Amino acid sequence: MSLKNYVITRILLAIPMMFILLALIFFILRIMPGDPVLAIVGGKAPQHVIEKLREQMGLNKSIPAQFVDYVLSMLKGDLGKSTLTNRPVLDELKERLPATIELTAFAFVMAVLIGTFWGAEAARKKDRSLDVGARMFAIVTYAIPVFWLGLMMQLLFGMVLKWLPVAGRISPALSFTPITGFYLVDSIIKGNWAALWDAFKHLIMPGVALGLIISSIFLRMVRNNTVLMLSKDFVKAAVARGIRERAVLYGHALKNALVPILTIMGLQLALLLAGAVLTETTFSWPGVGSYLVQKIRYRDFPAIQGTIVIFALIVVVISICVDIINALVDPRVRY
Amino acid sequence: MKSVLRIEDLKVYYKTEKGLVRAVDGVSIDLCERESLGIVGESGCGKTTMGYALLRILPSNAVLEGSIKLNGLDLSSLDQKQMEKVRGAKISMIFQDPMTSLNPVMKVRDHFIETIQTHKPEISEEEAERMTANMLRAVGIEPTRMNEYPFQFSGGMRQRVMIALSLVLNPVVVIADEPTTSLDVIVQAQILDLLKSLREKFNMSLILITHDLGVVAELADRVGVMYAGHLVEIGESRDIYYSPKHPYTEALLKSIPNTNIEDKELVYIPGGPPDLADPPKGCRFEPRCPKAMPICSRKEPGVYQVGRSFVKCWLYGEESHVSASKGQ
Ligand SMILES: Nc1ncnc2c1ncn2[C@@H]1O[C@H](COP(=O)(O)OP(=O)(O)OP(=O)(O)O)[C@@H](O)[C@H]1O
Ligand SMILES: [Mg+2]
Repeated sequence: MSLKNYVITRILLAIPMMFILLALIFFILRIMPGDPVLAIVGGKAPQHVIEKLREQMGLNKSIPAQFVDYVLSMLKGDLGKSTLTNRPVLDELKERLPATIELTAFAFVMAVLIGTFWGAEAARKKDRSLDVGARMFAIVTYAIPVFWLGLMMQLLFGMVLKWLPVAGRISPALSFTPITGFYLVDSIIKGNWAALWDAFKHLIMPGVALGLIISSIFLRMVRNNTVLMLSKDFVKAAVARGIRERAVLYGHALKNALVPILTIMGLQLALLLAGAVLTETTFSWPGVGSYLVQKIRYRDFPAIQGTIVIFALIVVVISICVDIINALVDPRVRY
Repeated sequence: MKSVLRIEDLKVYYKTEKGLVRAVDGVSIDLCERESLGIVGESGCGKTTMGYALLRILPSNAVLEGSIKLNGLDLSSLDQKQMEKVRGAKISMIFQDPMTSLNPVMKVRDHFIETIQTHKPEISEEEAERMTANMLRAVGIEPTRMNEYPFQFSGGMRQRVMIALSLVLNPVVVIADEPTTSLDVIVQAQILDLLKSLREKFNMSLILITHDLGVVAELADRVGVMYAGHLVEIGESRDIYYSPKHPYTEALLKSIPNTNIEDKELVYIPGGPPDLADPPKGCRFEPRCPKAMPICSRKEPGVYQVGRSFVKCWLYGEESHVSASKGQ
């Protein structure tokens, strides 16, 4: 199969996957305790008001009919209106999504860099200090809850040392008006270096706190897989051809070690989204995660549903990307 | 004939929990230009270890002693950085299992380009590709297949690729470690033929490691017989076949089915090879030797010249004594 056909097949396969996710979200939200109408009007509203609202929200229809309505509006890209603000959920999410993407991208890149380089070097120097250090790092970061780590970092770097800001994305004093919503990108576009530095400083703590969660997992996997690959015949054969140690490590051992990890990394990104909810709350980061927490507090069902749908969509897109990258790296996948 | 590789008193010990495993223990060999030398011996006698030692690709728990001179350059004294320049360019190796010796996520072509450009950065990619095509043609592979991945080739084809890859920089010495063991019989014969013709074509010296004396008979000018880390006999193929001197060589020949040796009855050598962590004090073959004498268990035999062969055995102790253990 050519790469193009593989990509097309993979995207087509994602459609039923997305459909199943949509269905799951719908039914889980129906099963969850709490009545969306009562959540809006409060427990003491007269019966006819409640009935009218039910009708407006389509909640008087049968469950299957509601499901059809829901799927159709999702297909149109209509996520409904927030019951709290009465604004379209999609608009609200669009404002918040860049913040979350910026945060998770930072965390992810950090985890990938730590995982790949430290992992590969630890594998090369097995059981030496770099490797032992990696093991300790993995245990410690794996055991620490992200919100606690966030709080401790705020305390140390924010309160005591005063190196980094403890909340938000940018100092209000800069009165920064975003273009794309990605502050790092925006400040570069504008050539506003003060804003770039400020936004970056805001990003460091939440980004590191979030990145640490998955970097330890990633580091362990890269290290173990690379150790395994270094013992393979093709590595010995490469050494026997005079290929330099560095090229053998990165070009032969690591490249093969990463093949199975790529898939897992995609799943880790999903985990990262979950971590983002906690991190954003800790650091008052105005992203989708803190949005979700806020909406759950007020039982804003359309907003909750819309946010989860977007999360699901992101996970599906990531899994497609992961599979395509996998096919690029490992030829055996696409034949 | 000019000597290209001179191995002198080579020792490789593995550090293990049981103590030192003396996998290669005092082997001396002179390899001549364009010569093909077979190394035979039972499993575990140190053949692969010796091959790895020559390329200095031993595992980290190995200790190497003795000298390995490749055209006068002492490989045993080089550090790993210097060794990288030698491997693949002047001395190269063909491995036992072609299914696992190629990088699965790398095109065949890229294996070649990487190897060529690592040693000769001045060669352009087009030129390297031309060299690859020529080399593939020489081993009987359609050059257009260079853009395929290893898993698209059969075992025999992969071994051809490995052979081409080990020869692409025209090394002086090529070590083939059981290059046909994992292939079926017909493919085995083809690969051996190929090695034979390439050796002549490329003027290289070949060290062919195998546990199969039949394979060696076809290809080797000389044969070295290893037993438990010692080189017990070395001589011209004919001599080894028709007039083996060492009792172990004799036993080994008798244990091959279907050879043209008169004695057709199959003889298994009783017992097993010794523990290399705690080898016998005298001759290592003594516990299994039908011709053992009292001295054999007490003292390690020297190397004696018998006819044109060199034998490490007390049976020949009275004959012309050679001081250094050299096989020439
Ligand atoms: N990394 C290692 N650590 C410890 N001992 C080893 C190691 N590699 C090999 N040995 C031991 O060294 C001895 C020689 O092994 P080697 O692989 O060289 O034998 P061989 O003649 O190539 O055998 P085969 O025909 O099975 O390939 C064996 O006893 C083996 O157990
Ligand atoms: Mg071997």
